[in-house]
Amino acid sequence: MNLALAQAKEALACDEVPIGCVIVRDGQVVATGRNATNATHNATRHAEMVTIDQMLAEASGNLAAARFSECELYVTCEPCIMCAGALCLLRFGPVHYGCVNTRFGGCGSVLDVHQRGCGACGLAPGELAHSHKGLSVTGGLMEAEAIDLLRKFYMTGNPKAPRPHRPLAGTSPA
Amino acid sequence: MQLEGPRFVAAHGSEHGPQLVDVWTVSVLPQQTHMLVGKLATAAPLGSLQHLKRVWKTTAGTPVKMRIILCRVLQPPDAARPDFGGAAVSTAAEPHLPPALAQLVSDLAIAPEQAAVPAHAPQTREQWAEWSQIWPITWRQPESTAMYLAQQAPQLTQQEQEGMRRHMQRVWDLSGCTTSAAGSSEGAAVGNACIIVDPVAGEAVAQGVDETHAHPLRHAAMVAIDAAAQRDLLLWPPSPADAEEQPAAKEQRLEGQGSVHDSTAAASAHAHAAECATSHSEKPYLCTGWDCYLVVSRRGRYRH
Repeated sequence: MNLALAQAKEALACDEVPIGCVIVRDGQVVATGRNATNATHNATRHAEMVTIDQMLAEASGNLAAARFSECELYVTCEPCIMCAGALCLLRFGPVHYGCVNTRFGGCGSVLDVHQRGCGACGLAPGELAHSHKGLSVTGGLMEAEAIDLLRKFYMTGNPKAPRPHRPLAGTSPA
Repeated sequence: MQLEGPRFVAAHGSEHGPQLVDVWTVSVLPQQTHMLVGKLATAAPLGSLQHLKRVWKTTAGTPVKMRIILCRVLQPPDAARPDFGGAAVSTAAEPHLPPALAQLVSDLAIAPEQAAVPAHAPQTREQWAEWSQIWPITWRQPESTAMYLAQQAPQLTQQEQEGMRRHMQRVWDLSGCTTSAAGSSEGAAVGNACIIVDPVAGEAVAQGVDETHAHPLRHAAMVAIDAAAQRDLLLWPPSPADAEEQPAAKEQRLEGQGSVHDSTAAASAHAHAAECATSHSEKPYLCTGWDCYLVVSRRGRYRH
């Protein structure tokens, strides 16, 4: 989780929402990543997705070679609904997160994707049960550090957002 | 031809029934109900479970009993903040009730029972009828659905409807469903497809088809969002000022934390923010405000 927090700090330094992620397999760190939504202009480039892509690239796109089910994932904030669904689809091993994500969390905060599992788009109802697999999730690991980074980011406003909920420091409110 | 009116489509997977949550309940005699419900209203408000009827009359058995929700099943204290590395802690066999409720239950000398009840309010009458079999639910038209049906639907102009039909036709064609539906066995492969539309311009800005053969997460919608992001980067490339002025501005934002003082850094941050506001005001923020048309094909049946 310290490595994931280091990734989150790097994101903060790059004006990205400070969330970092690390994937571990057989006791070795096999991929690291961080949020990159602002730089890519793509709201789906969350730390988990970036890190998963790095693993897949190293496995030359071979799903079996990536061995996701043997991996543990550490992320500084609770996976959102999309990421929780993605982790279920890939049949990930245990997931450990820092702070809860009360607005978008898919591991209990908003939806229980980790319990319900996630089927591929377009599966018939009967097929969902077949593909169903939830996630083993634990939260609260180094929570204070994760929150501190997010607070630093949001206290000053997201510089890329059109009308920040909070005015950027050094400017008068719009 | 008018477009079919908006209708609620249940979330993927909800056909298996509602999400359930465990609660503690007691069964009491009707004459005990008034006192108990009065005390529970202050000691344990239903909170997010207000869609549930707190009390209902069980018809099975005599004498008639009233079944009452006490509160949600709390996890043992050490499960609320799971100890890292520890196994998931299951619910204790012994009721773990808030002190006020524990006293109340002890006074009644009735053992609480657990029940699994729908965690959320139903979105349709059909769901209400089905979920009420699990635990009685008070029907309320969901505000968001009601508002949408009342306000949004009648506002669709003929032109908007034509646009919507055109966009749906396009994503339908993109999915390959058109040729397949026409009976051509050699038509394009049928797959999920998605287009993203700027509703103001009335034009598609990005599209994508399922690419899961190449990457397990390249679903049509993800591919389309990626394409929209690529277009965004081309049309509004990051300005050099973003990189150059960033350090001082960022330092100010990170360290200043809201206190405005007349320093070079503050002035620089101000100038940078003003520039951002100008240069970004005409561009979309990610896909905010854009419409998405999606065809999900499954074994010859199509949803959109």
